[in-house]
Amino acid sequence: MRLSLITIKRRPDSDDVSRRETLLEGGELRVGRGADVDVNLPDVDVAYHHASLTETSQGLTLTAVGGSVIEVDGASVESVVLQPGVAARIGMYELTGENAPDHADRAVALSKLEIEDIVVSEAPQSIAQSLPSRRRLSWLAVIGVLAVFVAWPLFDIMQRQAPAPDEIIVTGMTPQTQATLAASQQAITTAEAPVLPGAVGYSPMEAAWLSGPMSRAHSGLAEDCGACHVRPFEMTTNESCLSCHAEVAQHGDVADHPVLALDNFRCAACHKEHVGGDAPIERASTVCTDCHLNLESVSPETTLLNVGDFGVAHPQFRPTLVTGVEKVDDELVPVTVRAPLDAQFPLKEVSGLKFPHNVHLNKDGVRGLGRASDKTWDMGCESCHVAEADGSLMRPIEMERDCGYCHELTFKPDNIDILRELPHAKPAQVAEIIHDYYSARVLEGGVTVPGAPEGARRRPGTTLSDEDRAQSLEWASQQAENELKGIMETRLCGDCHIAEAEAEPDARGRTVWNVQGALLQRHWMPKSVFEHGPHFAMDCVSCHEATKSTESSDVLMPRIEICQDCHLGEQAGEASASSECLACHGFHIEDYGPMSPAHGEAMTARRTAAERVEIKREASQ
Amino acid sequence: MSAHTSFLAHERFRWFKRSAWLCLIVIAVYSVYSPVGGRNGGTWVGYGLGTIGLLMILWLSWLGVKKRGFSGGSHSIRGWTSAHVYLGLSLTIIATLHTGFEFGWNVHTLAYALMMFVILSGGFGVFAYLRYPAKMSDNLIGQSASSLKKEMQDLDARIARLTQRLPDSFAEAARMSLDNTKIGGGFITLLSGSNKRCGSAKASALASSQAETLTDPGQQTSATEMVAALSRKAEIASRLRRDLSYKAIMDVWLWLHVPMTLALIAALAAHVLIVFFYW
Repeated sequence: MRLSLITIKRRPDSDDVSRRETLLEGGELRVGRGADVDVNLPDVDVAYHHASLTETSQGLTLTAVGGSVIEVDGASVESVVLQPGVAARIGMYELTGENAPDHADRAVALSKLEIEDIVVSEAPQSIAQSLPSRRRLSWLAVIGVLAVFVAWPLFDIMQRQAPAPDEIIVTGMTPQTQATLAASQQAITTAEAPVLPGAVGYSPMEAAWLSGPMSRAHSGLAEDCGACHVRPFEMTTNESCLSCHAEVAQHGDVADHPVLALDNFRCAACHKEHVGGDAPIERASTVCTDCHLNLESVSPETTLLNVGDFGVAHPQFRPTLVTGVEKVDDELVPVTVRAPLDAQFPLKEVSGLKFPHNVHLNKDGVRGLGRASDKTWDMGCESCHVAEADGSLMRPIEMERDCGYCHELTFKPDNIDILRELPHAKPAQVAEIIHDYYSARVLEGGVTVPGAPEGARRRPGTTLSDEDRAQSLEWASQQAENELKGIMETRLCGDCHIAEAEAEPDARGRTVWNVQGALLQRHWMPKSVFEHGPHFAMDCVSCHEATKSTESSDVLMPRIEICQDCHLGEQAGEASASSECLACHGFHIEDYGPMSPAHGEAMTARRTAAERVEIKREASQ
Repeated sequence: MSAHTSFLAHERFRWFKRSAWLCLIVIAVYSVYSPVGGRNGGTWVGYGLGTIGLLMILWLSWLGVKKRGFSGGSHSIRGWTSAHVYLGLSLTIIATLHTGFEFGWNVHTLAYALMMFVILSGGFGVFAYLRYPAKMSDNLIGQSASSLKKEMQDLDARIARLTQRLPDSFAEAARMSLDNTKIGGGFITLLSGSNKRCGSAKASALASSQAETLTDPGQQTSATEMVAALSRKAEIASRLRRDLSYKAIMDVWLWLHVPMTLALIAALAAHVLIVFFYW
């Protein structure tokens, strides 16, 4: 057989096809990868001797050798007759039958399939091919964040109703719905059970809006943002604060000083929330000294002194002193003045009491009086002065409790053993008791006092003539008057108090005694709060120099320099004991009424209504 | 590195110096200012730092977009990158001082955390861009990936030619090498650059063991050549895989950096909105 093998080659990038003819001779022509076969197909998929071409009765036949694969129209065959137009594929080669030319018996065309004819799937060369696009991820992230943290809570918040700006609400908490508002309105007007509205429409995602932890005082509001943040994009209003703190007091007398209404101030200027802590109270003094450092700039007519840092710019203490008494509507009331403490010119106070501290604090002891006269007593400050249970001020001195053990008010005439206890602070009663005693003695008879009249000296049990009776009573009255003068002026009352006899006797001819009560100042510095409790470790005398005080008129309040030994001022930082304004002073002063009278009244009304309901409930139970 | 200066050292560390000054000024202002209620984002300095931080984040994001499109002129890519890196790092200080060290489980801290995450991923990017280009050129031994690929193709042709003189078991090895020498692949494959399943390496081993059974000296020579070609191909494949792995590492942080930047901008928008919504 003479076989014309036409090798077809396509030129790259062109449709040109070159046909090169080779003539092969032989009965069986071997086809395969091998270098020594007749039709060489250099492809690793092709076996060394893959197939054979032979001439059979049907024509040129391609037969697979040793189980090799020949594909015809996509199907594997063992042999195929290569009629003109029939193509068989071996590896990347194709053998196609052709019409034989004159100089050959058979003809076959050999062509190599082009790369693009074979489907090649290349592995991804970059992670961009296997990861989702960054653009898509970015969109997902943006939409996710906005949906979860903005849209969700915002949707809930928008359902809430805000109250009108000038509406006075004192029930607190979240802006009310029409229903809760009506209910609380009804509660106030008809004494039905008040409804405290809870958080309406709180969105759980609002927790993610918190800019910082709530103070412990307001921790209950952590899930009630709308209680304070009433309207979007509006700073929290004072009305929100007042809805709960309706009765919070003014800073001063607004009637006299309109500037103290603080109309342009926000509660939040001093009360900063979302910074944790116990309560949202700003303790730094700058919130006070913003005005008080130069008070004239805010209130030109002020008489208050300017204040700066406690360590360097606080005025000397000016205690409120009793300087005398005056009678107002038949009542003796103290006259007070405020004066600065001064080391060179000690302040004097007029309390009406005779009391030498040095005698009572004598380091060798104090000689007892009356029932206590059996020994010498060691006395200290705490013998009389005891702090109140809350540890703040000293409890007021009471004569019976604090002085009475030594300073007994007993009346004991010379020849009688039985004591008579005289009442404290009741001179008229004392006079009655003394007069009654002497009258009774003379009417009884048997008086042995020299100079006593006959009637008084008579044997007890015998009758008394009218004349003797009058004479005896006259004498008894005289004795009582003498005794009273001693008691009032020198012995009992006069020990500690100043007593004066009125110029005119009373209708019975008896002297009327006035004993000036002690006007003890309880709070020398009423504009500040001092707590004795925290100062427990200090000696009393380190602040109150009482051991050298000989008169009750000495003012034993410490000057500021003594406090400044420890309270160095805020600029001293950690080294100093608390020195901020709020350590001693309050801002809201109860005496001046609520900051917002409207809120104060509404709260009072509301409370009254609530109390009425409580009473009604108790009655029905 | 003689003619080449790193983007970090651009213009004698111009952006490092500018950022350092910015940080120093911000720290000084923060230390001096001691407002009522403590230092936090709600004070005037807090608002100021927040505004600076916000504008910087937007500008840096824009730089990130822009520097891809810039080349030449007075605004070199290197300059932009230098600015992007140093200003981005300075944000850690500006934003931290803006918070006043108050953190919580909220959207505000989320924005902060996202920002730190973006900066951290950017930091990895800087690390990758400093470390891997040199490794890449070392890896390719001064050649380009495409020339290595061309060499691989030549080797394939040579291997195919060699199989013409060798038994079918060598054709098997050649087929294994052709079919299973994959360069690239999925995310993990690309990142790891693993050669474990390399067809050429296996084929080389197979051909090497088959070569011992040959007796014909001509075939032995061909087999030796083929083993050499296969192992050379395996080595090239390994280098190409490592090359892709380096490229993947240099790319992968962007999949965090970019979407997180957008998430950050969204969280930042939410943060600003919420702060003033609930003023």
